[in-house]
Amino acid sequence: MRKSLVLEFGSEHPRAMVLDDERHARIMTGRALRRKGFVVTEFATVADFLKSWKPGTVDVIIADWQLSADHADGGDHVLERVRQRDWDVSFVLISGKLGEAEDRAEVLARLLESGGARFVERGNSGIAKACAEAEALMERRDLALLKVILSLRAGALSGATVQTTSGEKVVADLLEEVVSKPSSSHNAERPVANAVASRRTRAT
Amino acid sequence: MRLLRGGRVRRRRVSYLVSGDEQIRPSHENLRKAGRHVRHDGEVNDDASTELRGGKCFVVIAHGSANGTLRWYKSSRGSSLPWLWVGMPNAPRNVRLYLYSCKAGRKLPRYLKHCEAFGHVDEVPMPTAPVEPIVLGYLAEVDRLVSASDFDQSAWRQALAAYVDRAYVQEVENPTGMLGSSALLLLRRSLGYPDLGQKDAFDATAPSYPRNRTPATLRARRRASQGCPGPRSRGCGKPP
Repeated sequence: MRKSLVLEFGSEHPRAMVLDDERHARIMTGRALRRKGFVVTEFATVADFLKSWKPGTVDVIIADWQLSADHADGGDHVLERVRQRDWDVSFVLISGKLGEAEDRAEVLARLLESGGARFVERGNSGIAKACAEAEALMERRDLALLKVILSLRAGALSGATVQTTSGEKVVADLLEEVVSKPSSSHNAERPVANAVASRRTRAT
Repeated sequence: MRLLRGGRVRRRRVSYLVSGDEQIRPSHENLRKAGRHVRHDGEVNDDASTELRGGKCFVVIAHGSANGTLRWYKSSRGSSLPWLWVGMPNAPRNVRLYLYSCKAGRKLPRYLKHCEAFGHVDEVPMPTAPVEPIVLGYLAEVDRLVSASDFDQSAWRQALAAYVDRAYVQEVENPTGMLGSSALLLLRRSLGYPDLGQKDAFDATAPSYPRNRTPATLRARRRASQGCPGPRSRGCGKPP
């Protein structure tokens, strides 16, 4: 894994989800990411992925474009659904067939629109390229927001709750609220970003 | 702020009133262990204006809601009843109230205009494990403000937010536990993000209306359409 990512994640391991209906490709991608130090979860169907994925709990999603015969299950549509709940998670779309498809422009436009997403053509060293793109996207993420996400993630993954006067606040819900909109993310990260900035100013 | 000889600040005693709700337990025990003066559950009078006597300082921990109602649970009764609410008759007067209750700060402090009342606009974490030390640390800051300083809602919010932000940055960068940053993020949110730079961050939670569509303008238009004079025409000599 890239040095900058190792520094940013500290003792934590970045988490990835791989969504591909082709078993061989899925296993290969998962293996490549694990070798780089990621904790990987693999899914064969969109339904399984959506059931398991919780916003803020993964750092990158690598999805195939053509996941089933159903056009609505395409990787670009998965990205749209992901973006409704997490505006910032890195997303890599991988496909060998998109090059020939008529709707290539439409799909690529969707990727561009969503931000934080890349397209990689399957084929020669496609998996290695996808992993490299994943790391490149992760490197570009806001460091202060990443720190906030990582500080909430352990609680979210363990299903922890915080007691309040109106019941229990589920930490996974709190994390989802943080990553759901840029404004919520900025509100959550502002003190951390300010502290980082003031340290930098002092250092210079 | 009252000063004693030698420039020391005169501090008033702060009493914690803690409702008996299941989700709030065992906050009262943890607060007592931390040396706070606590009245809990059935020890608190059903009538808020009898309990909240003039000139004293209270931190109230009870179930709150966005509509400005604070409910008190008594285990002997097995149910909760409204204790402080917007529109209540005989509202308490001349007390300093810190409403450490979810969302109670949205409407209730404005209604309790004869009190020095402060509240939170969102959910607040309870001083119970595993976030007990973090919340008790925050409540120590609350005690310091409530017992010593002059009441200034905006200054209090700024001071508390500054404390929360410091603790939050520390917790995010060097976590002491799994839920520390979650509790501090809830506190930061419940203070209405004073660092947004708004004049009054609590206004961010109030509904905003487009120009000429505020409730007052709509009421006036309705009255006019029904042929009734608006409040401004009262006393102008015209018949209603």
